[in-house]
Amino acid sequence: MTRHTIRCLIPALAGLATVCAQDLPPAARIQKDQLRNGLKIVMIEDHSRPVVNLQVWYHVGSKDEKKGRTGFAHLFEHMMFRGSKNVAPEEHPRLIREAGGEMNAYTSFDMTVYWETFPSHYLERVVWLEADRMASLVINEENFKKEREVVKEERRLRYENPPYGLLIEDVLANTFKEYPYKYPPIGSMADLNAATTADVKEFFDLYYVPNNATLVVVGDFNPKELGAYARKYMGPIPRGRNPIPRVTTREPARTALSEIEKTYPKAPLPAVIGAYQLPPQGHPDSYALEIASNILSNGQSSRLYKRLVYDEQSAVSASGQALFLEGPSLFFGFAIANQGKNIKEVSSSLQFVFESMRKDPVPASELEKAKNQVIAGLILGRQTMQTKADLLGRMAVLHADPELYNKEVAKYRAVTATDVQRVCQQYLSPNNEVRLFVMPEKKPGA
Amino acid sequence: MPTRLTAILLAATALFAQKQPPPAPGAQRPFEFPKHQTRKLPNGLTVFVVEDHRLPVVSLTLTIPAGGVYVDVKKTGVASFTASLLREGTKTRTSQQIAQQVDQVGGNLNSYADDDNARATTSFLKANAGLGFELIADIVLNPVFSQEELDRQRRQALSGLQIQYSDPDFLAPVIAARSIYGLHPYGLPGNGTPTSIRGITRDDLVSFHQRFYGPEGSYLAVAGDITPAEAFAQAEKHFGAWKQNGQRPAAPEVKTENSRRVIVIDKPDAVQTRFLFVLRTIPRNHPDYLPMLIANQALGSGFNSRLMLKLRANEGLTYGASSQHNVQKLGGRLSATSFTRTEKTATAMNMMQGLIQELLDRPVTDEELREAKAFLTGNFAVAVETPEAVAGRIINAALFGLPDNYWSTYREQVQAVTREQVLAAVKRHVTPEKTLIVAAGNASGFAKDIEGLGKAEIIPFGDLDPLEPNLRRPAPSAPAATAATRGQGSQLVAAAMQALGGADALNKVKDISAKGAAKLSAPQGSFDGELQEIVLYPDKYRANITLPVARIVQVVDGSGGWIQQGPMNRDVPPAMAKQMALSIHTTAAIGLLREAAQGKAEVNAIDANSFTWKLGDHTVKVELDADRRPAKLTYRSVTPQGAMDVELRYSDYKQTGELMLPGKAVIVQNGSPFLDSTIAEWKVNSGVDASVFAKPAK
Repeated sequence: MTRHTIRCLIPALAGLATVCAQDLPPAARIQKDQLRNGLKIVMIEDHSRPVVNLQVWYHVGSKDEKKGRTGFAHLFEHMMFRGSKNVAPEEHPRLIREAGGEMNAYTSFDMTVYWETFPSHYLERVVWLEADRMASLVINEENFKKEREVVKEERRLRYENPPYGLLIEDVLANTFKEYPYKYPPIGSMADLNAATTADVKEFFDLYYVPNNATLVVVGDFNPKELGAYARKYMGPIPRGRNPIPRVTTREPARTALSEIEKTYPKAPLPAVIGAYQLPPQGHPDSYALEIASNILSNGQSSRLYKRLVYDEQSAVSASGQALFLEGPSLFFGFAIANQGKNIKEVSSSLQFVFESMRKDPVPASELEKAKNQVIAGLILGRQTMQTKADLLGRMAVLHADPELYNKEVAKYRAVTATDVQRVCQQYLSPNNEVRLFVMPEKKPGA
Repeated sequence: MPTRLTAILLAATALFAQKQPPPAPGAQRPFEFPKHQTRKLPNGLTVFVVEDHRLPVVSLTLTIPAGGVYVDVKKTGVASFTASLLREGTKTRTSQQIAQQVDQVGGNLNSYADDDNARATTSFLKANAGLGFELIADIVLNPVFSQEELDRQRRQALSGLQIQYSDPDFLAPVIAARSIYGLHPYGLPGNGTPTSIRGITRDDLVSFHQRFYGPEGSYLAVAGDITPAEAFAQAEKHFGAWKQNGQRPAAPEVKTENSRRVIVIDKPDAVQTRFLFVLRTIPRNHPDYLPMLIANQALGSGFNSRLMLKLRANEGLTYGASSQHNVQKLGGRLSATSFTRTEKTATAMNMMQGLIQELLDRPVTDEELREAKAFLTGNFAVAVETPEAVAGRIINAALFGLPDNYWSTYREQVQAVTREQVLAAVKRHVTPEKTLIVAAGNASGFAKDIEGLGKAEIIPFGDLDPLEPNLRRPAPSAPAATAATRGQGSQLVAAAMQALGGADALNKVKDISAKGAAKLSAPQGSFDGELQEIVLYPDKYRANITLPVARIVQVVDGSGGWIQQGPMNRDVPPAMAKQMALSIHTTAAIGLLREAAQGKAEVNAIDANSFTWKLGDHTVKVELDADRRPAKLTYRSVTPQGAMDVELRYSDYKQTGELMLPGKAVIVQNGSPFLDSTIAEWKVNSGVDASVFAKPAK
């Protein structure tokens, strides 16, 4: 620590300026509670603003969908706004809005999250609203069909209409052989069309049960008061009758590079994306892989930006990003070619940069830079009640360790240059890669 | 006693009959808009400080009145380029040194411009706050705008626009802004257009920076883990020497009046249509701002707005429908937007028009007024959770000339708005019959069904040019034809024929072939290959392009044509065959000149060196070099991806038998290089057989 302190006293050495010991995410006091029906509660009190963010995490995501029902977890999420015993369709958003609050929900591979940010004196109302839809759900054939059309529009918006919208679908389909991450959470049009209200009931009964839910609350509230509201409104909801199924599929390890080429009629410029299989989130190597991701693509001095975008000008954008999930995870190397550049050459440059990470340990200053970026990110990631709750929910539900919220920073600080080189050799090698080239349709004429 | 139940009902009403009301709120916790301190430096820079020690972070926002509104139409993009190039090099730091210093400590530094202002922002951990001040001052005061960085930025911007110009979600709002403000800078895309970006020079940036970047009228907001004393000291240290260069020229006034216009941007491969309805309203400091804000809440803000309930919840037509009231210094606009699949586009658009009309016919209700006020006042504490958000509001109040106590009394002002005020404001500013309508999607699937909204102008997306008065890229200009221009045109044709070897020699050409090396720059990348072109007059043309990745053959034979790519071949539609047939005339310009001399094509002189050539649907602008040889042929080619402006440049003329023929041919499409060929060999009258143009069996 001494060395750090000395540098901080000499900010004139601007290029060498570093993060001082005191600039760390402030530790939070995490409180836990659990109802008898299995519902977990994790909390951080913060009275700096009269604002609360409350989230309900259901530990069910697109990977839990049954065969022929891709997209269902997300479609179901939409149905949670279509009314419950005491709340009419679309009334939930109205009740939050007139409280001055904001709300939404999202569905990912591993979880479905419902959240509200609101002035703190509305806490009881929000717990009641979440309890009502956890306890009861009104499923109406007509509403279901309308909501399915809404979701199909969402698919058109995010996937089918944008120039590179279908990329993630193709990458997942070609990367995973067995594991249900092979479909993106939006699902396919055919499966969405096949879904029925009977599926909604089955999914609700199986997964939307208190013993599969975690209440995450950050902000201006009294934990005792919150506990009382939770017991009053959520306590009487019975546990699920059946055990909650968990994915046990194993994804076979990759042994050789596979290259695929696809033509996208709407892509204006060619692109390349390499996907590498990683161990699940929380694996000891995940921290070194995140550091590697920062070295590759965080900021304009990152290796990929500097070489591909700045020096060669061969790419419009280039990045290397980890996507950590509960199951087998992914690392992406991605570049879009600049006008008139050959994508095969761009891909070679991308490979060259990955190779540099495998070949030599990263220099000390570059490692320090990446750590500083990660730490700054962890601090900025705690700016609002909502971002704090997002993180706390992730730690509590997906890592089953809420205290990781405070402990994570130490894990990043412990990463060495040798660790980074080793994980790059182990995971970011062509043998573990699926490489997809996206080509625009050849324009005839002229 | 709640029990867990799932009910599948045909009518939900039965179940809601006994529903319980939601719990009432508790006692509201007081919240006051955070205090800030202000100091004006002697040079005119105003500094705000929002002290907030919750996290060890200090963020800076510097706002300078140097936005796109100060830029001439033809130079659209200069404000944005000036701002974004600030961080790409100063007198003492290169672009990479800046990036390195910022990244090394996990900070960030950005600069950009909007319509009214340029902004530079940083966020650094407390220990490096001094570096944040130093860097933001350096990039704003001492940028060098190197040619190299400009070229790099230009290239990135052009590639970025290539992606954006194929995205309906990008194009529709751009054209909506343009239709509402006309050619006022507020109506032009601030990041520039492909045409304007090509014309931006280093001098433009240097001079824009010199004229518009100065401390007078600029605001620096310091927010976070820092005391006001420290913050003012840092501001004085780093910005004290900043000087104003004379007076800033004023921004042009917004004068356009709205009248109904329906613009359809045609993108035949779209599966979804993005549409907007827009109206010009009021600037930010207008007294009707809050009533209009409330009207907008009811119309299209949030899940319970009229638009969302109707289009999404009731009809399932869309994932999202919303309206925004965007206000600027000199103007404002109300825009409602949504998107839906092609076949439902007309239904959804007619609904949206109806909902805008309803703002007048079914004015905002007591319930809607109550909800809107409850949201705007209740959300106030949520919306200013971070010190940056607080600083952002303080800067806005200053920029728009709002009173000092504006934010501390904001909630009271909202509460005071009445239904009558909302309706009066709506009547003054919302004229449904004048809304401008823009839809981007597959026009053939919906255009005829929206005729009720007004006559649609359909523009192929590839033809769009926001800088042109009619939104379309101009076709090669053809001067009014007169006997004089025709006469001069004929003289230019005769001179060119003479320069190529004389009319006799040219008239003898029955077939001609060229062979050489070619570099093809396609979206897929750039490739080195071989090009062979064969013309058999009067109506046959073949091009063989051999690339490492594929061999492409294009043939026109009489009125039809075909293309072969790898093992696949296909006939091309008649319209495309016609386009391809232009090559018969343009190859070495021989066909074109002969047809002009024979009176088949019409020619008109533009000036002493150029003329237009017209035959049927084809128009080509021909420019001659100093030796009177054809140097540049310019024409418009229409492809399925939109219209393309093509330039065919000939140079390096060499004697081949009796003729002078070009040794180099370059094709530029929409300003980007497409094909660069060096012709190794020309063959004239080698007895090309018609079978060369026959389509091979599949």
